[in-house]
Amino acid sequence: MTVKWLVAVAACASLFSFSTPMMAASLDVMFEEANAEFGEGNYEVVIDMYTRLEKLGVHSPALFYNRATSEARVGNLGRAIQYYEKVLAISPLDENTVYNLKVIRDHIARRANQQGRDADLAPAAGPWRAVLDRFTPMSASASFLVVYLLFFVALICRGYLKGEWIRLTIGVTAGILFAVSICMGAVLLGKRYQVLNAKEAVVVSVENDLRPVYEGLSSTVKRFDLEEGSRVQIIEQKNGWFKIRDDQGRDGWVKRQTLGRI
Amino acid sequence: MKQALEMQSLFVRRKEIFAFWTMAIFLGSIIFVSKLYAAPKPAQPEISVSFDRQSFIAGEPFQLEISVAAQGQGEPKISLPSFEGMKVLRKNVSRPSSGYSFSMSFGTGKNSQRVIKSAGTTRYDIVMVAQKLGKYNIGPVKVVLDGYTFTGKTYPIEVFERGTASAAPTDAAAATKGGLTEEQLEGARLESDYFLHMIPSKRTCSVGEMVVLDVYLFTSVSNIRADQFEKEPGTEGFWVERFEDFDLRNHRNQQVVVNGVLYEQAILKKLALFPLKSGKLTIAPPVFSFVVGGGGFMGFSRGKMVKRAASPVSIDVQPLPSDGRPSQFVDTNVGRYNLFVDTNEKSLKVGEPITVTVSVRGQGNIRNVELPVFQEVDDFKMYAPETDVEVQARGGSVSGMSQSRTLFIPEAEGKLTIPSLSWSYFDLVSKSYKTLKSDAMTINVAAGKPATQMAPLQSGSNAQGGEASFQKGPITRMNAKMRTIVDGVDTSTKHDYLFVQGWYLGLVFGTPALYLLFLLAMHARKRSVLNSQKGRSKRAEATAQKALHQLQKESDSSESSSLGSMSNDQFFSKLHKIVLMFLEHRLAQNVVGDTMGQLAARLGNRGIHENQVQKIIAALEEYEFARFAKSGSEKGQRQSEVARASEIISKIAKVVLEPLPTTKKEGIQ
Repeated sequence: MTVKWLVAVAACASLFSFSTPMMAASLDVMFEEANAEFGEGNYEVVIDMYTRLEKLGVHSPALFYNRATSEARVGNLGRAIQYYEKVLAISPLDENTVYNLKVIRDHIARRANQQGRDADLAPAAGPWRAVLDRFTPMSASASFLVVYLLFFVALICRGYLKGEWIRLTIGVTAGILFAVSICMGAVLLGKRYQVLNAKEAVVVSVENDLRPVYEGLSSTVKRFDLEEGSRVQIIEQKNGWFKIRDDQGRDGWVKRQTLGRI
Repeated sequence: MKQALEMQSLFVRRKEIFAFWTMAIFLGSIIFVSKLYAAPKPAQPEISVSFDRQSFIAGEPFQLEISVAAQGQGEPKISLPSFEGMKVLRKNVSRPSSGYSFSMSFGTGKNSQRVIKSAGTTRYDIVMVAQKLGKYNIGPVKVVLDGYTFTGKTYPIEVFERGTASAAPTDAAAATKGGLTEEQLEGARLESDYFLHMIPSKRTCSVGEMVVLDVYLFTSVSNIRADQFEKEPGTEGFWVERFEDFDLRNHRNQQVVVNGVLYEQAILKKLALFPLKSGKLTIAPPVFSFVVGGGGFMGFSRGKMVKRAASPVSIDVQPLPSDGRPSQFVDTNVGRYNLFVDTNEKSLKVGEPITVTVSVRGQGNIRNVELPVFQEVDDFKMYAPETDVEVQARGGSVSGMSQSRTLFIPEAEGKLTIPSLSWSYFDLVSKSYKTLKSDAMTINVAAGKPATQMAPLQSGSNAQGGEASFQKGPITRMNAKMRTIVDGVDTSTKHDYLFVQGWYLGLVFGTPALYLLFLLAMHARKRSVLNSQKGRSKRAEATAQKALHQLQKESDSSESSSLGSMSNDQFFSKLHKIVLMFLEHRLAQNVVGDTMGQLAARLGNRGIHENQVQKIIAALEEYEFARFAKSGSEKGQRQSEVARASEIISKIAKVVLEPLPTTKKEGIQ
């Protein structure tokens, strides 16, 4: 009896250990197939394949970039901006993304201007956002870890060394490293939040190029309109509605399906 | 006789009559000749008088411009009026040196040409001020030309007290010109020395309608240099074109009186603005910096740097009318335009390319004009158009040509048609929408190589790799500008981020724990050292007494030994060492190496009585001397020295010591 159980456990363990690389290989194949479909101009199919990849847990800048470019091909500009923003959250200096995002925003601004509206979709980046945008998750993690470990190394060295001046120097260095590691820790947490728990979203669904924002939940009183692709902060979520705040600090409610989380 | 007298008188009368007629004919001839060659009466000179305002206020300078346009043989002599009751502040005369001509010809009759010596306009710019209230007469201006005197009109003006001024009399009002209107000065940030001001050509316009913005510096100070804009006028919401012929050197400053102060008005910038949206658009104020004064002897004086900012200017931009708005109209197509569509070939073979050129020419914001585009054309493969714009912004207007060249490749033979294009714009003159339509073009296509077998041609689609043929529409044009997807495969997941991986979190949270352990170990080690020191201090007497006893025993046994007795050096050296070791352990301080003075001070600092200290020092010194004594010490002497050391040790052991100083850690580590 015990032997049977042991065999069963061993079989499950071996299956699990093999399944991960097999799944990764199938994801790679699906990714390649999607890229090939893009070359054929089958953008709807491409989007469907990229969506499946995302649902299977793929969270890579390449996937988001390709998805965004495919969405732009079929005219889903809000969705394209959403996915380009996702790329920038992971890889803020990606040149292609920055370029394509600007092209789309210029297009929307031009379209709005032609309809007599002023649309500046380039989000106003505050200083904190500007700092976060200089780091990738990798660089934020590595920078924090290096500074953090150096701080402890400095503390330990100070405990062992005897000279008054060298202790003072190492003490000051440790203080600086501590301050820097606090800052880098904040950047790391901010980046982690930005990538995994962001409350930012983009208007992806519009009617006549605009998305009305209402006074209250399920209200019919319109407060203002947002252009397709506008970036907003999600403040509250209730009954299928989001309370959002736009770049100008205006609050209002929109239906959940009209937004795409970054 | 009588008859002779009568004859004589008749003869005299005849002579008189002859003389009279001769004289009359002579005078008549002179008059005729003089009339023939005399200057004709010149034309009435044009004498005009203009004021820079309609209301005149006591104590407030105003500007008067008198111009005399005359044509005659001589130069006109102009007599200005006396301006009684007025004080002339400044008078400038501009004489028409270049405007005068000189020509002469001789002849009579109809073919004769009059001698024209001069023609031109003389201008007087006079700045004056009326000191008192009341009515004044300006004029008349008298002009003497070729001996004729001409008199101009008299302009009555009335000077009011400030705040009560009413309109000027009709004549003066009619002559008013050249100054700045209240609308032009609206919102000006007036200052007595210098101020910056923007004057738009209009404050209300339609979307896309050109507004010319002039930026002026008004200064009542003459010596100004090193001018530059620190901040350009903010033109958000406008499309801006710069006039290529605008050159400051070609502009002459004007003198204007604003609120009673005479300024030089210098233009600094001239821009063509095209509103891109409706609503109240504000032109943000520019900031201009310049140096006032300076130069001086050898240029040593630097002058004063001055900055001036203008007031913002608002333009009320009206939306274009919705009535009659064509469906394909875009707001940037505003102005006066013509549409031209042409092709470079009308006959070709299948697979051979032709270029269809669509151009829009005219006045308006030509750079932003949205050109018409071809939709799908049957039997043709189309490529993305290449666009090209030429703009001429000069002479206060903006015009030019916007052109697109689209490559067509016929895919079938026969008579193929490139359809007509229609394009709409808003005509600013008629204030209505106009739709222009081009003619359809027939292309004769002969059999040839299919387009699909040709090498890639150009642009647009190349950026999209092997994508399908190009399709029209704004989204497609946008996509043509965009970069394509990346070929690489990256299937990383959220779990691949460093900050969610176990080893990373282990390092982050484990390092402080390790450091805490390190601190605890250090603390434990320190406590152990301290405890060891305390134990040694407690055991110091016993250890020392034991050592003394051992020494005494060794000394005694050595005397009875056959190997020879213990020498003084050995005995006292050991005794010296036992005492020092006792002190070191007792004090928990390193005393080896101290001089006697240092040792005495150390003992005193720890609370040992001075007598005791002296005894210890004396004993130690004696041990030192005794080590090198030539004669060996006796057994009794050694026993007494051991007893003495034992007594000192016992007494010192009982002393309650002062704690060690905390500032500087010493002792046995």
